[in-house]
Amino acid sequence: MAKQKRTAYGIAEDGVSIKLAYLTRDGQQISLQALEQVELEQSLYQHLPAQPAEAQPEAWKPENGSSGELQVEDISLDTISSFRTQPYEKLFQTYSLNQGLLAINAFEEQFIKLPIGSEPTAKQKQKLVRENIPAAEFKEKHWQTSVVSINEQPELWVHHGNNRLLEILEAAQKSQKTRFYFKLADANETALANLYMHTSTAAEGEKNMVLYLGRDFRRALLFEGRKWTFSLPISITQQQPDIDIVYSKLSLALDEAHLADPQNLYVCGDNCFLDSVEYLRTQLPNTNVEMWHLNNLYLDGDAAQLYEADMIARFALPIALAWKALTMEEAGVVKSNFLPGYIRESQKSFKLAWHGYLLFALLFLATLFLAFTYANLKNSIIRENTLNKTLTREYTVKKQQAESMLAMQRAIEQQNKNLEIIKTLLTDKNPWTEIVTRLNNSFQTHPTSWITNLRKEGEGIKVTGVTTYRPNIVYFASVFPNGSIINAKHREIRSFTVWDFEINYSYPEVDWYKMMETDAENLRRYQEEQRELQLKKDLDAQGKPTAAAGKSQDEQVSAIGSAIDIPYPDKKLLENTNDPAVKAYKDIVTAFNARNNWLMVDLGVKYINNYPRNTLTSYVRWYLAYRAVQNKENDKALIWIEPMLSNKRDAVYPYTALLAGMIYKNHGNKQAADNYWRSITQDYPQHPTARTARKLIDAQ
Amino acid sequence: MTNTQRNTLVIGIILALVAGVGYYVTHRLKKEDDQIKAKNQTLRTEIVKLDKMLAQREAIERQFEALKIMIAQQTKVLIQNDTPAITYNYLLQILKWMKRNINFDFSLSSKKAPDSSWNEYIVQGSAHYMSVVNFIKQLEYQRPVLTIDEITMAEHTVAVSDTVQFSMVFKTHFSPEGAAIETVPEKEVPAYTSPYVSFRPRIYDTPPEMEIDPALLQIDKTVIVGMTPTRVFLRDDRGIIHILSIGDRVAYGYLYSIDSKQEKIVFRLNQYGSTEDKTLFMQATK
Repeated sequence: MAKQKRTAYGIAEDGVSIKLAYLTRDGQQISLQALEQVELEQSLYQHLPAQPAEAQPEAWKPENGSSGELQVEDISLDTISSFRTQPYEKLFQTYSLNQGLLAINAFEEQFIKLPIGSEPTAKQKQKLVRENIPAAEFKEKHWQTSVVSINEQPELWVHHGNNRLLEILEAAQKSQKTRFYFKLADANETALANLYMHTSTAAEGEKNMVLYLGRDFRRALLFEGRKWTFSLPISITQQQPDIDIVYSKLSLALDEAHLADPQNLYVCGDNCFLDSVEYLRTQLPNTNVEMWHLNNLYLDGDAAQLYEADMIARFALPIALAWKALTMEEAGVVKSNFLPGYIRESQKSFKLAWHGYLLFALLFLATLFLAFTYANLKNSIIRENTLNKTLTREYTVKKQQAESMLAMQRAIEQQNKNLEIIKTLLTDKNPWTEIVTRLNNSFQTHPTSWITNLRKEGEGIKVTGVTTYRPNIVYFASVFPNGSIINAKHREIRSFTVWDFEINYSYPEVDWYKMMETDAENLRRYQEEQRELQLKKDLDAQGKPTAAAGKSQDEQVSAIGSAIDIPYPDKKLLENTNDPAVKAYKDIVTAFNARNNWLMVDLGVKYINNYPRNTLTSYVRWYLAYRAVQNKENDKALIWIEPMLSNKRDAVYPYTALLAGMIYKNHGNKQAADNYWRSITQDYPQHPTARTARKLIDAQ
Repeated sequence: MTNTQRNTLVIGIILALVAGVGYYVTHRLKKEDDQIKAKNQTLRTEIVKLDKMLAQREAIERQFEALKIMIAQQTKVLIQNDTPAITYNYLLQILKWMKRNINFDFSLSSKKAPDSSWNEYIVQGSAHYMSVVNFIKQLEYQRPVLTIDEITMAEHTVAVSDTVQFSMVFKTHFSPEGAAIETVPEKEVPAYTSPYVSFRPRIYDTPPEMEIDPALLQIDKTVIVGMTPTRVFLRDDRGIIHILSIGDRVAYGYLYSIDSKQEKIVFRLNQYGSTEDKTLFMQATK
């Protein structure tokens, strides 16, 4: 569309001719591309009621001047048009009218010019129009108005009736199945005046005249400087008037208007010829008379050769129309346009009515709303995606940690299951140590008896042996459950009578279950301790085991805990914190206070192995034994303190003896317990443990 | 239709399209947004759950660490895996712990189901009775779960009366959740067994070969050459005269009594596993 606006076609009808000017604009330069003219068989407006009998018979004559044989007076234009191609149709087909702006002229006689004081309102315009044009035309809206100012006197120009040039262009548009863009339908005067005002270089106050001598349209336009001051009709009825008549009519018009001769006279129109110009020069000696050759119109190579100044002057009207179409948006242009409203409307492709605006507003709001919603959602998605990545990363890491933790938990649970499996596996199994031990004890206490064979027999065992003393066989039969003497035969060995015997037994019961139960109990206790540990954060980090650590055990332990004295190493021993032995000792004490028995045992064993002769080792052994006692593992406890019981010079000995007495008391060996406690009262009467020992002795 | 009507229609259509496409797009985005929000919410919930779970992590890690120690120290442990090499190596390890050597034959029993969690082995040999007893004790009391199904012990010859011949059939049990055998330390075997050798014969038809002090008098090759109430003079097969008082040691025993009136002496000997009195008479001596 922007490219189309740089091209304009000015099409003007005047009498029996239609002229076309093809102009282009590149920046401020307007170039002439082509000029074309076709002759009509009759004027476009010949049949209109406004011109009932003004048809020009010459128009029907062939151009070659032959008289012609065809007389078609009784045939209408429409009838002829229906089966003949009109010359203008070929003209319209020659140029790509759909590529440019179309500017046409309106028929001069269809104009009513009403002087007005000021710019009328729409209502005033309607009123003026209604009063001055036929009612039918008014009703059908066959009228257009423009306010034109001549010499600063505004006039309302009303164009009414059909624009035939427009109609034939519309018909051409239909036949070519294309769309023309009509930019302008103007009055001849305003188009020419506009052209003059745009192209003139006249100085201020300089009085010039444009004299247009067309086929039907003849008019003198007067300007003062670049200001349009007068429009004088030159009324001549001849198609091709003589120049002297023209001059006389012009003189008359000037006289009537009380105007002096212009300083410059520019002649143009169909009847503008060199001899006419020469004649006028002779008649108007004080006036510079010349053809209006439009100095501002640029002619490129071909056009300059094709179109001479007189031809350009003859095409002044279509050039003026095309020029105005190309410059309509500029300042100083005569604002007149008599293009019918429906044409203008039809060409405003993007014009909106109220409902259009309403929908447009809705569309805008909807788009705005959707854009906001979209942006919000998109932002939200981006935000959530980012968050999702972060959360997924966090979740993955934590899940891995949790899985690892669950694996640990499963391992802990599996440990319980394993204990059960082991219990099952060991039920009624592995009685052999028990068997051998009991047999050894039995045969040791019943001498001159020996075993010759021991083996599995069915679901039990068979012992074959020899004894020199028959009652022993009975005794041996009672060593294991269900002892059954299979046979007992005597024989002589040298002078001795010996008795060969065979005894079958059931397997003795070995309480692996109890042992495993101890393990399971330890595990359960450990788990409980760990749970408690979670709640205890204030562990004693001073290197001393707390007495409280021994108070929350079961009944046996509580009884002991209330009576026992705990050995504490001298502070000096713990001063060297860089000593790995001291560090290891403190770790053990921490584990002791945290009741982390398994850790304490582990660390304790390592400590004993690593520092067997360290002073603190005795303390470690004592703590291990003490914990074992608390866990009802009296045998274990004895193992820990056994090496200490033979060293009475050890600083921990009184505590060890006190604890050993406890262990034996738990075993039910009160005598041994009493011995250990008495050794404290006798050997260490001043030691703090002596008082405890005395109490324990008294309590027995 | 006028341009304005057409334009209104076009705008209307555009509006409808915009509304339709906009609704579709925003609906889709909303759905996507909701989905991801829901997903994030689920993740948050899961993370909160995990956080709650992980709050116990430190304790469980400690428990797990302690468990490893505990497993190593508990009475009985299923080992993680077993092969004949593992069990054989374990038996050798037991011997190391015992600080004894037992020569035994070792073989894998064929009585094993394909999917069972145990392997059965047979061990046989001969060794000192107490070594065998201790070996059995180690098998039964050490932490790895081995179950002895069958044991046979029989006395050896009189010549090696403290030695027994033995054979045993035992199973090594294992579980994938068990502990690696390398991580299972030695356990102190608490049970005490008297060192008495129950398989040693106490009376023999043929006396066992014993090292006898060559300086001691061999009764069987001796004759009385004289006696007093407190002393007796004996000559051995080499012609050497031995003077003995009551209580003096001889091969397999000692001089128990001197009866100078009846010209007899009594030796108390233990050559066949039991104490026997052997009397020598002067007259019998030539």
